[in-house]
Amino acid sequence: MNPTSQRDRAVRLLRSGTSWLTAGAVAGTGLLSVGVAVSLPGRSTSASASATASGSVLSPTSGVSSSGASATGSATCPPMASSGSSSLPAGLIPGSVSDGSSSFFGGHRRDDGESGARHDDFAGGEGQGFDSAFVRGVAPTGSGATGSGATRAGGSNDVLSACVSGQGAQTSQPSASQSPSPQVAAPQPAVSPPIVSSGGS
Amino acid sequence: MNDLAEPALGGDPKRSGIPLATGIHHVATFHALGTTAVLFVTEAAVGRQALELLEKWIADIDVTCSRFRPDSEIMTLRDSRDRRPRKVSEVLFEALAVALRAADLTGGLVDPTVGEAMEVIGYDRDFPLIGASDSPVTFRARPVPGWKAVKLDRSSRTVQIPPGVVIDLGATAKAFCADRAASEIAVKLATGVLVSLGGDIAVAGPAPRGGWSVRIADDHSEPLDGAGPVVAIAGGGLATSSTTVRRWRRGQTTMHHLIDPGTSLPVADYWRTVSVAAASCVGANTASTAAIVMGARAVPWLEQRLLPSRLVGFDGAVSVVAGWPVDEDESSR
Repeated sequence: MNPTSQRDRAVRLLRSGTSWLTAGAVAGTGLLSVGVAVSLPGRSTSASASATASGSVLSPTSGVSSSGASATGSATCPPMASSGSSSLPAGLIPGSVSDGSSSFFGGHRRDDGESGARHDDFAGGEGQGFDSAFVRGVAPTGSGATGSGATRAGGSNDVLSACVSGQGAQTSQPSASQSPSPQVAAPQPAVSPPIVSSGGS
Repeated sequence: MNDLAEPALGGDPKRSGIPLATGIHHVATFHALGTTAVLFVTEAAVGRQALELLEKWIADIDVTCSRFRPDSEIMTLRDSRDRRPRKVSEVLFEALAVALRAADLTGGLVDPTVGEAMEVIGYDRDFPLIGASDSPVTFRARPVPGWKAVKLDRSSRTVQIPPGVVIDLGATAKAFCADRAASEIAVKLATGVLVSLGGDIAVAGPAPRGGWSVRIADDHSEPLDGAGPVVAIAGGGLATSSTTVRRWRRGQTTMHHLIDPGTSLPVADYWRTVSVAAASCVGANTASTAAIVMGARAVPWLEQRLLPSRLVGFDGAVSVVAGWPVDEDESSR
């Protein structure tokens, strides 16, 4: 984990009024699909994003092969009072190979502009590269949601993960106590009865 | 891990009387891998296919990773006199790789070479078969052989285990199975899915509205209407480690199944139960297990990694980390 980058990320989030939540899934090879609903604190509505990612690159002996992963995604915006709903297929932006490291636990992601290049600062693991490609779609109204899907292949344990993020329009200032972008959305208080227990076994 | 009962579709006795939220379909609850497997999907039509995929993963993990069946692949490796690199199945290789990765990320706190220590303290068979013993027993504190002694070569898919090293994949194999099964089900069947193996939970695909509701408990087999907060997750994994389950007695000493690799003995009582949410069930399980082992250092360790966690001490005090919601009864005090 790079604390400095983490703080930078948090500052950007507060300034831009965006909020990111990601969800990950793990598979050895093949296709992944992940969806997540994103509740955005301080906003009048919520955004949702979903992505389906495909990847076929896993050669983690020395990081990850550079043959690339691909992702497709879409973003939808729930109906809003003034703008209605919007959705559009996301365009594919080739990712770049970088020298980040990976972790079971995740860390946080830093966006390097709009070029599609991303660099991940993850805790744990030294010298493990990853290869990523991601897509990003922006709701045409400018007041909707942004969805992005990403594949990331990396690590000696042969992990392919897919992440989706949601970005919504800001209608009020986010709370100053809003946490920096976590790799995993924290559990929320449940609104429905439990279906299963998590406990020792 | 070898008790794989015939699953019954939709037959979860724990669920009686508790309505399921819209869009969640219970597929099966059954005994597997020495614990309870539970499967939910969001698309009811694919329930049977989802169950078949889960069963396949469970069977693969059982036949490759079980320390409690002599014909498992990992036990075959142990019995071999030839300790040169051995080619292993893809599933075992990946399970070992995950276990070594967990050890690496935790500085050896979650170490798969605790197998001999497990046997010494009496955990050498499926837990229900372990009996209490009043016979005096002497334990010697010493470090386990250490995960770095195990060598994997991905290019040849071989593993080399030094003589005397007994591998126990109990800490990560169930979580690995849950992750892989959930991912495969979500992708192949285009459904949201929750897989729980003994309370180690992996979810994949689109989550139901409001997320997957999970009760946090000391024991995963406690009733759903029992004590403990209920949280919702939408992705990744959630795991809980506890020293209050799988306890037994040897002589005057109470044992449990979480070993401190530094001493080869059960971890000293500090945290009773630790729950962690992470990007995967393996990550969550690794972190929750490591937190139990590291005791007081667990809170900053989890905070630094932005791992939402809930820790319960033996004095009953609850600590929450990295955005884990405060218990309702705690917040009202």
